[in-house]
Amino acid sequence: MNGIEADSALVVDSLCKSYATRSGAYPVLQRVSFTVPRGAFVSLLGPSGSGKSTLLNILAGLEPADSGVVRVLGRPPHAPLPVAYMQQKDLLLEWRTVWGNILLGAEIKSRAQRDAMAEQARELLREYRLEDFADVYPAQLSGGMRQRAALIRTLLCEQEILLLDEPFGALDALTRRILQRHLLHVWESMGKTVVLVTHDVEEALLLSTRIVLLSNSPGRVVDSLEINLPHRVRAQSTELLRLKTQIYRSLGHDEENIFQSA
Amino acid sequence: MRKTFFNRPELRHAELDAPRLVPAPGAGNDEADKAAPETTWRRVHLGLGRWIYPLALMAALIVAWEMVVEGFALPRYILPSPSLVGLTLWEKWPIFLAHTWVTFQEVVAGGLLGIVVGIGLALIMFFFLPLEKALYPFLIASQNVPVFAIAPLLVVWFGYGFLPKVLMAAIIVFFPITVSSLDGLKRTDPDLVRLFRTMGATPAQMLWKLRVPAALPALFSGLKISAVYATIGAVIGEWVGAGAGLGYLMLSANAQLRVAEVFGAIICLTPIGLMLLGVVILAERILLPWQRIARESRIGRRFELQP
Ligand SMILES: Nc1ncnc2c1ncn2[C@@H]1O[C@H](COP(=O)(O)OP(=O)(O)OP(=O)(O)O)[C@@H](O)[C@H]1O
Ligand SMILES: [Mg+2]
Repeated sequence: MNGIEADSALVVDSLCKSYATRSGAYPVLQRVSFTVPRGAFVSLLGPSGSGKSTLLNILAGLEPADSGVVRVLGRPPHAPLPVAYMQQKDLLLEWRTVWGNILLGAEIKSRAQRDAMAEQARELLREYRLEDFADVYPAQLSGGMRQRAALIRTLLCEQEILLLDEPFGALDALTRRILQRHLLHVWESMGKTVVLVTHDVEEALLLSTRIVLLSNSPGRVVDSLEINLPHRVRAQSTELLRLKTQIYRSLGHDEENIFQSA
Repeated sequence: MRKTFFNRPELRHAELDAPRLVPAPGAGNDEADKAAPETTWRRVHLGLGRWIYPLALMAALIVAWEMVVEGFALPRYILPSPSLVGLTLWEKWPIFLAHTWVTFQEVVAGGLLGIVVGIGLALIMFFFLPLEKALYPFLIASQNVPVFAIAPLLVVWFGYGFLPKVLMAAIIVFFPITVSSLDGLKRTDPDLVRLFRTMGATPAQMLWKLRVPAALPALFSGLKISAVYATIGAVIGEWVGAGAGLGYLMLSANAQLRVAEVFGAIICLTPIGLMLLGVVILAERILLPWQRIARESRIGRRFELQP
């Protein structure tokens, strides 16, 4: 893709972030730059502690960056970004039923919005196999069910850009596949832009149109690859195997040190 | 059948291949519960057991008391026998009822006033940090002043009537309420606050949809303590100067060595506190059903996988 900025939904430019600790500033992100084209499915892939969650917090406007900018094209620089953010913790409200939880975003906008979303909410519950649990409180759900509810809530926020922090982390392999397929379906049919954080290489390869690789802590962008294969043919593709090797190499897996800090 | 938001079979998915999650028997599934009689019987036994043991202990204590009084031939102005107390209550029940009613009104009015003031104070302190910093030390210090010390002053200022007792009860009640609701408001999960912020919640929505519901469990802990203490406030108020109420009845009976009446008044006092506690617990069950469910599901899994 050329003319990067022209069709970009999100431009991240030289973000730096460090946390103050007793032994001085502890760098988490170092000059992180990448773009998310409008309508793209971008995965941020990196080992644990590489600053992925921190990065999403910054994109969601929850934390300031030390330097660097995040821009959404066609929007004034300081306007809140049109993002719906699903954090790593499911953050369901314990005092609301699943139904009340998934409609929270719509309800915050307005009551009319809430009523308008009911049909869609019902459909999503059915697709995520939670339709029998609409009236149940989160305490009665399993970890994976909670995560599915949190994902539905994020989808129902009706924002252009979805920021998803390991949405399938607590799921069994089978449910994970089904929900990955469903997320692809949502992404295609609703025309969303997705930024997905994961440390599952397979997941990134199966879903993304672009993968941004982050290094060990402190996080830097070590590589960025495009995947132009149609999603249907990916599982059987040899091209994917090649990309997988490339990813492992970029992450330094050759030297067996992915999970060692730099 | 479990009640669900929409129980429409045509909405059930056909294409999905993974096992379906269904409620386990015993998870509010009435038919399944009836089909398991031994579970039902166990439950009855547990329910009775909760009452049988304390009642048996109480009966034993009453019998022992009766035997001590009879055996040592204690005079009735020192320790009346339970049967005499019972007889006194039986014979003078209109008097006891009238005084109980007075105290009950004082307790309820004082309790409500304390709740309103307590919650109001907590909200004010929560939203104006300087006020919290200024008020909190005084709040703590105020609890080191024994209420007995204030009671005579209230009589001087407000006389012998209804009002000083109400104030007395309110003074005792407001503190646990303020502290517990302030604590609840402050302990809202900061991650949830951030979630609401990304959803663009207004400050009012943040308060009513997040902070208040999150603080309710803490508030109810305070309410339970208050329900028990409110009676103490009213009785102290009556002790220092009153013309009616169970506290007044106790003092005047005590002065005339009619000890059986003192015991009668004490017996009348207990149901007031118990009733208030019952109301608070009932309100908690109705307003916070999710809390009980959370407690229960921590004990046992409520849902199982079915192929
Ligand atoms: N509020 C904070 N204060 C201090 N250090 C922090 C804070 N938040 C995160 N960190 C540090 O920043 C680093 C990156 O954390 P982050 O949660 O972004 O990692 P991550 O890539 O999401 O990891 P994981 O894949 O395990 O979720 C970690 O070393 C962490 O200790
Ligand atoms: Mg993380």
